[in-house]
Amino acid sequence: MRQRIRSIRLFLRKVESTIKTVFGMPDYDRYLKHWMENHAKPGIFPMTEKEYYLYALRHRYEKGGVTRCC
Amino acid sequence: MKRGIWSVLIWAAVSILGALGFGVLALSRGESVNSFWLLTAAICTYAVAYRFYSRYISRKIMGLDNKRATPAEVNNDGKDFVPTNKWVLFGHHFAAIAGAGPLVGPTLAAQMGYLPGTLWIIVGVVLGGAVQDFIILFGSMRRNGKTLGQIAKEEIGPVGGVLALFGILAIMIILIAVLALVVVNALTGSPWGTFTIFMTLPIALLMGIYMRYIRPGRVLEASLIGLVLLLLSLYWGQAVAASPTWGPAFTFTGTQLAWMIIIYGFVASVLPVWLLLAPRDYLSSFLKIGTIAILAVGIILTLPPMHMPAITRFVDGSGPVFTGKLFPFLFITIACGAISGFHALVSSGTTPKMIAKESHAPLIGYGGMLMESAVAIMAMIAACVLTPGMYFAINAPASAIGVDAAAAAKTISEWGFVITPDAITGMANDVGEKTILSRTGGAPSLAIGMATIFANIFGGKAMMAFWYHFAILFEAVFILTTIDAGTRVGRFMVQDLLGNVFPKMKQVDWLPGNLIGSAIITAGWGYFLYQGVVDPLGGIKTLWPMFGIANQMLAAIAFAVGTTIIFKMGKARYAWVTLVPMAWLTSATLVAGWQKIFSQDITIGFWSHAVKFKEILASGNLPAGVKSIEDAQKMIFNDQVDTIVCAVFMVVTIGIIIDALRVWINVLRGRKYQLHESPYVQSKGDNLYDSGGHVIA
Repeated sequence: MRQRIRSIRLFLRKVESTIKTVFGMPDYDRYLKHWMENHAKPGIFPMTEKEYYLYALRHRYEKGGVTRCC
Repeated sequence: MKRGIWSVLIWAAVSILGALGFGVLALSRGESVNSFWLLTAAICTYAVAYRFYSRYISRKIMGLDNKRATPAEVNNDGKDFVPTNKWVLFGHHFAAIAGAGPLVGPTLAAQMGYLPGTLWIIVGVVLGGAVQDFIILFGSMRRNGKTLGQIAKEEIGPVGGVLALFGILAIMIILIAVLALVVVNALTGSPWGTFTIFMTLPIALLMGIYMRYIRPGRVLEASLIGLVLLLLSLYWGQAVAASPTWGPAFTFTGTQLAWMIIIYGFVASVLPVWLLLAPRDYLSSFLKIGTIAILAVGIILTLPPMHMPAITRFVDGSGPVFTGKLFPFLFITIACGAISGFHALVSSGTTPKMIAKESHAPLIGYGGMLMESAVAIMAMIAACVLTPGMYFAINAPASAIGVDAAAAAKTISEWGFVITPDAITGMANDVGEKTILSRTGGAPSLAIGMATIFANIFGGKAMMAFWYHFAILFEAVFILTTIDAGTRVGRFMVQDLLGNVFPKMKQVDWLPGNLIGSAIITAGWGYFLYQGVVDPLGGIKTLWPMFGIANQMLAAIAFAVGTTIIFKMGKARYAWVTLVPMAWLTSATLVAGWQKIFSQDITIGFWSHAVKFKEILASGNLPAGVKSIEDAQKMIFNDQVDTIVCAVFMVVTIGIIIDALRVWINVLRGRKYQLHESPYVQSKGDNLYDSGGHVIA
């Protein structure tokens, strides 16, 4: 049973991440994973979910990167 | 061996089925033809082209190599450069390129009958549009995700680069203006639609605050709440429109709506992105993909018959929706869906930074554009589902058919498309509008077509008004997203340009710079929008061809860049792949531009129109349909501005092509140029994808 709940959760997480990637939304889990793998060092901390959200939005829209087509 | 035989058989069957589809379409002389044949012809052609032509290009020209690491693998930073599952990236790319363009263009082009537009959409995308997206995606992928402007500068030269940047800014302004005009024309005098669109603003603000303060970062929750609220306001819109106090309060004229959109664009460009821009972007993305999916399901389930003839008499250039002969005007009226220069910006934007393997490029670049073309085909079907009489009642400007149902029915029936006044008023009642006459811009006609299709599946006539306003809502929402995102991008470009003179202007978070940049770009498109709204001849007639010329000009630039890359790679033998569509587009665009300026027919030529008006004014009279001398002088001034804009587009196109030609000739003479590709990096091999479709490790 617990196994099944876990696999459903994993599936939902996969769907969520796919939707976020397709529409270019901030994906905090992806950031955390990348941070853990590449930047984790004792004494430094990743951004909180709120910090990351604002950072990702600014990064995406403030550089003029969003070109919506006609 | 056995597999080989099966493959040959299957592809032969697909080809024959496609040819059969074309045959039925071309030879049909009956009252109506089933849309099944149109879909079959399109889908079979796409399949064959994808299987054979995209593979030909990737093998003979590009030499796609999975051992070569992509920018996403080399720079994997978890932000921009993220190796992504190819189907997820296909979705991302499609969501970025699909918009209102492929829906509006075919709807307007349907005035010539379904056949010319359909053929151009299918042939154009296979040999042109998809090739452009693919080759620019490839070029950008091999150059660390550089933008079209940067690639043009490096590969062609500084002159070509500056011209390309200038062209991009110009198309931005015209694009925003024409799309804003589509929204204005759809909402004028429609309290239901206007109320629903107005409600998207507080909903977006609420979502913005929710995602920032209440549940930080929970974008999907907020989007779901937003969508539910949006559907509720769509539902309440009917009551609002019927209310004696609120109905008139949400009924606006075109001029009022134009000013509101101009103010909205300015405010959205100035405000922080989290408050308005991002939430609206999310809302419209969901709505867009959802509605396109519903439309596809609706058409496939019902396979509606198309009542528009294969070819109408308006191929001679006298059409009420847009003037001008089939060549060149069909080819600039349908840009998105066949070839859209704007895609070159998307293909050199976020997508090349997310490709995991080089071999994914055909699916995403070529296949993504085929998908957009399929959307254009669906729009064509939705337009042709209406009877031709109804189609012209909605799409012809008031100057052609008059302002009441009786006069309109009489005029349109005289054109040979029988319709009764009762049919026109009956349709207006069905969709819950006061009138459907002369709702130019394509959106209302598409919405009525969609409502007809949806109502067949669900709800019948009783639901038609709801479906109509749903379709209007969805088009308006994603057009407004193009407007606010486009204004912001334009603002950055203006700030960047001014920054060369006043360095402080380059800081995008400096408030005075922000305000000045936003004001300049908004004034730019606002001018054309306002001009279109007050134009007594119907602004779409003027602005849509200009947008088409601008868009196709950008495509010609993209092809010039692509051809230069091919020449520099030493593949001059295969340069016809981009040269043929470029030559076709350049001739169509230049002939169209020339006619828009110099044609003696004053319904086409801006300049001759201005000259004619001046003559009439000089003789002491007023031109027909114009109320005062000031109005006539304003129209003359607008004609002169349009002439200049058209001329600028033509000069930019010719300039870039000459600059590129210089490089090509030098290559053929044996001169060696440096190809500015990023250095070869060996890929670490096949990686596994994690739960979200991103590569692990």
